[in-house]
Amino acid sequence: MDEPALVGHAQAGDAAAFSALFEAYHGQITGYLYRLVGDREVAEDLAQDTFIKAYRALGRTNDGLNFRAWLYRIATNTATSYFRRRKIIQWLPFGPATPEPTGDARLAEALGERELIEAVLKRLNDNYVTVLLLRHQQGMSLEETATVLGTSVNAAKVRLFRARRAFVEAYRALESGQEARA
Amino acid sequence: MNCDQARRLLSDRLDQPLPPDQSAALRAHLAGCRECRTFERELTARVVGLESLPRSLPSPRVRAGVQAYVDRHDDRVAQGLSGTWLRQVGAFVGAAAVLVAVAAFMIVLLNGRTTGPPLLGSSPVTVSPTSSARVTSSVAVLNASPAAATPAPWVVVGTPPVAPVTSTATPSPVAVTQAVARTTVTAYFDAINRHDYPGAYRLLGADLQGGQSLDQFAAGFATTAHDAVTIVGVAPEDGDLAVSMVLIATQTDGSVRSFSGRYLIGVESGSIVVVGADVHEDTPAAAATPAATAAALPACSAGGLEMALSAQGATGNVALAVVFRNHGAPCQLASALTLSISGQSGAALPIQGNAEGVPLNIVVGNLEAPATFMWSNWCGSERQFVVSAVMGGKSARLDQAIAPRCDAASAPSQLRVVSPVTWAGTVVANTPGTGAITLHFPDGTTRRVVVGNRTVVTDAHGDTVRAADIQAGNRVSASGDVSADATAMDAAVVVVQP
Repeated sequence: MDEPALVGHAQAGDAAAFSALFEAYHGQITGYLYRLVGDREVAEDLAQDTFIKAYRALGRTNDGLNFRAWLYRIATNTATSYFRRRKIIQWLPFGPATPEPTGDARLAEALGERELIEAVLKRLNDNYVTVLLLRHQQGMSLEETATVLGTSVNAAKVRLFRARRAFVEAYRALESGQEARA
Repeated sequence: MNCDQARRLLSDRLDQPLPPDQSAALRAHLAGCRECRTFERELTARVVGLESLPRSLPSPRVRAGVQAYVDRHDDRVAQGLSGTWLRQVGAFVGAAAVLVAVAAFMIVLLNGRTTGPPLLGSSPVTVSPTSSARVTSSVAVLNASPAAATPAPWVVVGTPPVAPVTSTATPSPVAVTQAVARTTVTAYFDAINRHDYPGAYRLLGADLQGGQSLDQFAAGFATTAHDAVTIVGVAPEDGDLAVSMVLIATQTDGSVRSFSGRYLIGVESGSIVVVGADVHEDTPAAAATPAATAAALPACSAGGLEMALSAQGATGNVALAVVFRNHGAPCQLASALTLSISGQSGAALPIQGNAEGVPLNIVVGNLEAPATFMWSNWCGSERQFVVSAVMGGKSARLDQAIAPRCDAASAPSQLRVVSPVTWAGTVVANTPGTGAITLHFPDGTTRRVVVGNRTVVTDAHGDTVRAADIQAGNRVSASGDVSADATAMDAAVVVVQP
């Protein structure tokens, strides 16, 4: 059965069809959220919330639903809510002295390519990370990325440009620190 | 063309081909601009790097969590969301099949068939509604408490919350999947917790209703405040499905009792019901929490320790969590913690338990270990709060605007610590597949502890340990969201030592 048919059945309440969709997407959704929030445990919690929201809402969606874009949109909104909540928590050092500041350069020394990418993602605005991951890590088209973000294609294009530029600049800053120390 | 325009086009080009005129202009700009050529090279490399990140991260925990939710999905029914969802799809199994919807449990009555693959890996068992293979002889008498004053958390289950639609076909086999069996048990306890006693009563099979009226049944719950059921396994048994579970019953006086056993889920007159049960109380009512024992772990030092505060609304109350984590090996943190709530002026608010020191003795790992306080019944006018946690001369502060519901203006507002409970014991047995370990505690008791899937288990170095790898003889220290009587834990920090 192809995906549109599965989605149709799931919308009509077919649990087996929902199960098949879950199996098709849960790894990707968890992987996307993991890159977005940078914490596996949190990503798993958010992925769980995403599928539960999808499960609850699927029966109210319209025919012809773009399930993938819809699901990623739920995941993105769930992560956004998490980011908002997270801001009320601020970790405080318990020890008497502040350890020697760890500069970007020192951090970069210890990082390989993938870790460097992850470190750069952590330094970027959440909106930029979202659009970069959707388009490049999850391999969505520009149009699909716009659908997930709930924006026009042109707005998505502008956000992508800004995000790519910020990513290149942040990577360069981190990497040059690394090279300077090497 | 300036550099900004050129870089926009370099970005756009990654998404769709540029028109010929823009492409030519870009080439011309790049030919004369070294910085933009560098940007082009870096952009390409960075995109390749992003595309090389693993796309998928399959997670058994996500699967288990979603499965558990779907198993309990009758809340869709409660919220009136079930209309389209519960409509079964004939085309999926063939237009000729006679469909009879047994709504909320995703059960389909078909001519001898189930509807395709089981949900998230559950195993369907098909039984006939007229089957006589049901086991009732081994079933304990339920709700046979000597007096109505005795809580009856072990009473059982019954029909789905949405009545089956009448079949126009001859009696058809009903597929009872493991998911359905789990849902049936959780639906029963959900109904009890909602005080929907008629709903719960309808879930009883004829043998288990046992001649008691609905009023008698409801009276059995007079002293039960809340039942928390944890399902630890489902297995076929003589044509029915046996659901093993542990039940923590909080009484109206605040005490806690625990029960464990099995419910048998089968079919009566075409409906899924609990056809039998074998449930016993594990913990004498007088038994208390096994004492938090002498630290089995090294004491925490201030160097690697961090503290944070968070607030979250919780069914009319506000849960205030003081969260600790340690950068390094797990350690034992024993100190006095003071939580206080004040208004914008800085004056402590009139709340019972406010700013009182609480002795803390918890296991702290490299993941978060919370000490949770529950604040209830705020009827004051203040709506902006400053929450402070003080421990060992250090403090954390949180400005927040979440207030508990005002339940009774004449009653005081209260702040009380609800967790963590901390205990330590020695593993007697770890039975694979049950999700539970048996522990011997220093107070001489031996108890079966259900390990929830939010529990973090590490060794003494902070490395993750799979629950399946916990062995007899291991010493276990745990803190967090564990039941007061040490029979269940979830979202806890657990450290295992040889």
